[in-house]
Amino acid sequence: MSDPVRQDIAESLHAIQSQRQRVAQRVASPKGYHLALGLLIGVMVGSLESRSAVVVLAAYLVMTIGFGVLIGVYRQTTGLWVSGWRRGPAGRWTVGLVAGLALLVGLAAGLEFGLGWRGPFVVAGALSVLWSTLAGRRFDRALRSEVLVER
Amino acid sequence: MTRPARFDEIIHAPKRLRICAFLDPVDAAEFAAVRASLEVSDSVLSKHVAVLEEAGYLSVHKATVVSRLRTWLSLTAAGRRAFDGHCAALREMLPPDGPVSDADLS
Repeated sequence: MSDPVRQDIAESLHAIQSQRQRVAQRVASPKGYHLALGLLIGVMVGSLESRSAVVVLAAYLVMTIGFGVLIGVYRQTTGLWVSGWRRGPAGRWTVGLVAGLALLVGLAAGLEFGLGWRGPFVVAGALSVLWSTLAGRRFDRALRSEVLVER
Repeated sequence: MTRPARFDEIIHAPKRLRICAFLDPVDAAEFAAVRASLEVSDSVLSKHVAVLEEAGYLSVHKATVVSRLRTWLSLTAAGRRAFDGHCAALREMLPPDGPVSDADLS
């Protein structure tokens, strides 16, 4: 292969990796993003303890509006949009997040309605905040690794 | 899934290659973010965006964020396939023992 052709290919591959590095620098969530997301989810889960449709609906509305605001902040800050439901390791953290939350709510429901305990949804809400924050940070880390994979 | 290698003349142009490389790992990117990554003017980016859009590789949509209209770019499914194939073609064109070195870039 002639040198100019080889150099052109090398430069092209280098440019591709360079762009992916630029994306990796931008793609990180804004500070406090996952904690805010976790708090919205935690409040929603904790609201189930009230057994009041009005309180749960209000918490749901706050969560939905909060999600919208967070998405807007993410887009404005990074200039990017990345769906959580993507293939690969990052997407698996989204699945893990939802599965973990479903497990927490299911356990709390079992304790509350099955065994008549009081307070399990509050505990599940607090654990949801921790789990959402952790899973969100792991998502970011996995996403950054995915972006940096050599093409 | 590995796409079949296929060199793509439309994508290979340096600026369009960088646009595709920037958009490939994300669902969408704001026009301003792509422009900043390429360090080009609005008009230069618009020209290359139009070529990719005409080829069916890129879609443009407008969205209002915090009361400001912003332009978002994303690769279409065809664009992702073409970019994957182009990357594979570039890799195939290098000798098996020929990783990209600084010497190649000088």
